[in-house]
Amino acid sequence: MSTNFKLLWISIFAMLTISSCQPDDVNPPITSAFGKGVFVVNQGAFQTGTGTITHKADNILEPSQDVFAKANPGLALGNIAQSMIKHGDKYYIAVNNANKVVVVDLDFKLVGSINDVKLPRYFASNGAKLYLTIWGADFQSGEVLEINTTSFTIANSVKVGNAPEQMLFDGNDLYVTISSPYGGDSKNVVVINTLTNTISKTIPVGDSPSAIAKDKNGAIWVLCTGNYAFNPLENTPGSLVKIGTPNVVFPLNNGSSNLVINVAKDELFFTIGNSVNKHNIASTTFINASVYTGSSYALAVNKNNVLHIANPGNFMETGSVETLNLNDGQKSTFKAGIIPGFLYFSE
Amino acid sequence: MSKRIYILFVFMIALSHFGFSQEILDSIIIIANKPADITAPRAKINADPIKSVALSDALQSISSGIIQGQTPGGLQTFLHKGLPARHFPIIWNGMNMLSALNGVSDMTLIPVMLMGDVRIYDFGSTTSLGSQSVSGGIIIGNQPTSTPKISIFSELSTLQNYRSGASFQTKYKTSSHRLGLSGTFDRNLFKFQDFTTSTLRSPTDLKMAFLLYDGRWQIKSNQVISANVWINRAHRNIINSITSAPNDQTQRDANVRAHLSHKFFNKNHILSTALSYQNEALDYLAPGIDSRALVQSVQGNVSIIDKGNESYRLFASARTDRAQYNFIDQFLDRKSFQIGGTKRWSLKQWKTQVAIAQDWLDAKRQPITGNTQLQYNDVIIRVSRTYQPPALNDLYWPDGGNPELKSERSLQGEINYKWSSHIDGRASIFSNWVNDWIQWTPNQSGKWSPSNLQKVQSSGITLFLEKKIVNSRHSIHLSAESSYTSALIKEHDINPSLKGQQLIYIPQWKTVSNLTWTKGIHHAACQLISTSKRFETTENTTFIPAYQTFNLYYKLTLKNSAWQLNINNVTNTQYEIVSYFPMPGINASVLFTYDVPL
Repeated sequence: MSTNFKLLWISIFAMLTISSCQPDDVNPPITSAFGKGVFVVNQGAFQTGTGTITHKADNILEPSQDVFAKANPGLALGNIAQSMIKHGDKYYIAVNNANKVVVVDLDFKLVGSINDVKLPRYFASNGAKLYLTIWGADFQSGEVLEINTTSFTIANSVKVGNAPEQMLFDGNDLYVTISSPYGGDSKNVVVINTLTNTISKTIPVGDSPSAIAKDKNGAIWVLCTGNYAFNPLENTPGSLVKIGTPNVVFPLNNGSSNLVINVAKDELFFTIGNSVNKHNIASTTFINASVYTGSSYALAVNKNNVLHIANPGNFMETGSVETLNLNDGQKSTFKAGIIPGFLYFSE
Repeated sequence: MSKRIYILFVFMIALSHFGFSQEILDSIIIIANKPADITAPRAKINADPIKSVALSDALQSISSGIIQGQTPGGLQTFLHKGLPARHFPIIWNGMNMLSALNGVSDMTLIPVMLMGDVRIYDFGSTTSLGSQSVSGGIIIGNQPTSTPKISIFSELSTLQNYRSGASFQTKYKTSSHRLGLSGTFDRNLFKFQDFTTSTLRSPTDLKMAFLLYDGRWQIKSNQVISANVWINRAHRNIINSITSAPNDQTQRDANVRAHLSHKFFNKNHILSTALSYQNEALDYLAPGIDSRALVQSVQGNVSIIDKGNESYRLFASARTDRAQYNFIDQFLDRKSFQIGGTKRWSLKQWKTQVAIAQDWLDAKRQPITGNTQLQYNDVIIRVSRTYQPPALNDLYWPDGGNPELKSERSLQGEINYKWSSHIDGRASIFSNWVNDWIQWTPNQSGKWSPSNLQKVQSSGITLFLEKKIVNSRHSIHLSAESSYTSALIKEHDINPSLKGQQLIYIPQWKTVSNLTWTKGIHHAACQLISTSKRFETTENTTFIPAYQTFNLYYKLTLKNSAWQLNINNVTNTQYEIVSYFPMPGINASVLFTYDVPL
């Protein structure tokens, strides 16, 4: 190595060393105005309103309502806020009826949007890649979109058809539940290889799969809502399915929804009618015990093993979030916005 | 949003965009017969020099009610005295036009320029409006043909709305005929402030065509036959809120109404028989939804009216409604029957009237309804008992309908006093109790279903003042009407904390002030309408702000023609009737009318 090269290496090393010793206020760590707690995505009044986001910090009694409007005066999030996710140093919010994804920083200040995504539903992120399900303009030509999180554009799309809903990463595999469009019939979970963005597997489970969870043994569970039509005679039963060879299928009522798992990943929680029920994964018979009675539009379990239940009330007034500590049974409640429909925990 | 909630919401909203115009049969009023009813209408549409092409424009001048609509060119309903549109029937030739499916009728589809006689009643009257007039109603009647002529009208608006029409009136020795035709293309284009930028609103492209016919024949010296036909077609885009992405939603209405009546006059009585028919078709198309509904109604009426001083009347009627959706292989049927009578007395300054009616709905006896009115000079006291049956959707919607629903029952009272002095005026106080209020909510199984959920009391006061200054050169008319309305939930079976909350979209205050000036062929007017805030959640946590609109009118009346200039929202106020549905800023229209004597 020549002297010149040695000097260059020494210079580079010195610069890197110096730069790494810069005081914190030059390159401050990423911080957020929102402490550890839960975001509630409120859909807002149907057709005539805007979605809102509620944040309830763990250490503060009162939740903060409509944090998007507070951070962005004069702006509205959009009609039917569907779900959200944190990816990198930004939050991404799917606004269903506005056909867009709103991107905000950790203080919820608007930094951009991804427009013209037809009926966006749910996100999945493995830290490196961010995916979004959409139904398509006709509610039945669903796609899974990979989002370019630098330019806020669509990097790739995978056509899956019907009405894709919630997703789950398992290594590089992305499991996508494909629900039935109105009056239609879909029974599949699609597995996308995220290295190639191609469908690697299609797994039949039950009528209209919509929610998904992985247990402590690595088994994947899918909740199937059952097909729904204008004419109730055409409705079909729902089911809770453990993917395997063969699948393990537990029948549920039509309209059953949501699927989350506790911290130990051995108990599943889901909604049947006006009840939240649970099933222990170790049981070979269906354990379908009610743990909560009341309307539950969304479920989530935080790291402290507290089950959060979004209660939309009568859909015309502000809803609430009920919490149930799965360790000690302690309950609490806090107010949300109109039609709370998704829960996401802030770290 | 879950799909089943979405589908229910979309469907209910879609239905609410249209008026399948049927409902229980109720009254038998025939305007030309001067019904035995001393209840005076509150207003006659287009009786003033200033004309309204749209019914909603005319109704906006009534302080005790508010037009409810998301956007111009969309569904327009009228919430009166703090109560919803289903409590305010629209009667055409004795037939209630409110939808048998959802209890709503779209006022956009009423061509008032072709209508001979449109009257607003602000109090329930079994005699005039039927058993379901919980908060008053509208009667659309015939206009007796007087002078043979052709009348033409045409209106152009800066909203890119184009409306025109013509009516032909002829009169022969034993018959008279009136034929009206009109067409409308309302784009309703205007700019609004979309949070940070000025944006052009999506066009409604509302296309409407109307045909109306009134004919009368005197077949014998003591017998008259009348025939009426009303056909309309409409097609429009449904415009989303500005918080939503544009969407391809359209609706199509096709309505046919026909009415045939016969009157037989003898020495002491008039025997009237009538047969009415309605066919209401609705197509609603949205991504993933193709909803088509058809409602057919037939109604027959018989009445005997005292010919002398019209002091009493006996009536009976029967009606059947049949509805069908394209996605349900089932007919939804309703049959109703009504008998009733009315009697009035006069003694010096005292006048009184009592009406009573009994309805059967699908063979179930309904609450006895009626109204009584006592007038002493300028004081009128009214008491009325009415009911509102569940709509067919409430009863039979395949996924949640509740066949056990009871009819809503209403008891209302009102005291009116009017005076003449330097400043003329009128004051009224009313209170209206509605029990067994029907509302859709998620039930215990998580499904949406209607139930008789709450009690509501709507109370209020209206004060009207006017001053007329008339001399040989000009006349000035000043008027102001202000209403306070308290429409409160008094009991709620599921959520008692809602007790005491104001019903959504009902303003507590509304004031309408008018100044008109007339000099010869010139008429000028200005109007200020102030509407207080309206809550949009049942718990009254969020509201739509108060707003004021200021409108100017000028009309030039020539021998056989007239030009009318309307400048609406002169101050360019940004306001909303429903959240995130902006209303037009300043806009203008010109209306031209021309009469050709025959």
